[in-house]
Amino acid sequence: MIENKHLLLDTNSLVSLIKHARFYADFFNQLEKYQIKSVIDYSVKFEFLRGSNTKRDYEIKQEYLDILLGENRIELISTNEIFENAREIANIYTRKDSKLTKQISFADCLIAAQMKKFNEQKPERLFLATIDNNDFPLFIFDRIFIFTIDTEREIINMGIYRFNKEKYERLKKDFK
Amino acid sequence: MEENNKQKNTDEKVSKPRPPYTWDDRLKEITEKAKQVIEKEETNAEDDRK
Repeated sequence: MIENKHLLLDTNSLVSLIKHARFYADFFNQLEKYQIKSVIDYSVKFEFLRGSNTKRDYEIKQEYLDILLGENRIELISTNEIFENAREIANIYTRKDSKLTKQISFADCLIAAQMKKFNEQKPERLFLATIDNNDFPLFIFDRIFIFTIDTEREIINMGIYRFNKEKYERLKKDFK
Repeated sequence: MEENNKQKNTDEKVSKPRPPYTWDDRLKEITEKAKQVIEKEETNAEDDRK
């Protein structure tokens, strides 16, 4: 299903890949085996790079992205349409469960909007990998796989998600 | 020299860009450096919270 498709990593999954790298060797092998293509969203790039204290730290993190994602990566920018879709998706989250308004970040709403946009022309072109499995609710997304790693101090579940257009359209219709 | 240049040109034509998510020495090396940066950031954030 995911072979030759694009995979977007959110910020916390990027950090987890770095902190627990050796436990993710098999995850990388799977991505390589299935020839997964890389995508990064600018909000993820911003969140990942913003904490750098020095120019050198910033350069190391930038170099990490360059090597991890390769030369042929797609960089997704936030257009007016993406912002508007992110707002619409956030409204649906709130309508379903008001607690989600604060729980799900602006960047996560932008990612959801990018998933919607990227899959519009051709469904299942873009998948998402996240360790924050509550931030991409299953009333809009489908969780198609969970990759579990055990660091001995914690168990981390990296969920792989796809945007479900039918679920979204149904909820959008109900938003009055 | 000319032969070397020919070979180089051929190599450049056939070489493909490095695929993403390749868990090789390049990625391992930069991951180790990035890990130190992330840990430093987390320690700083923790100190600021105290």
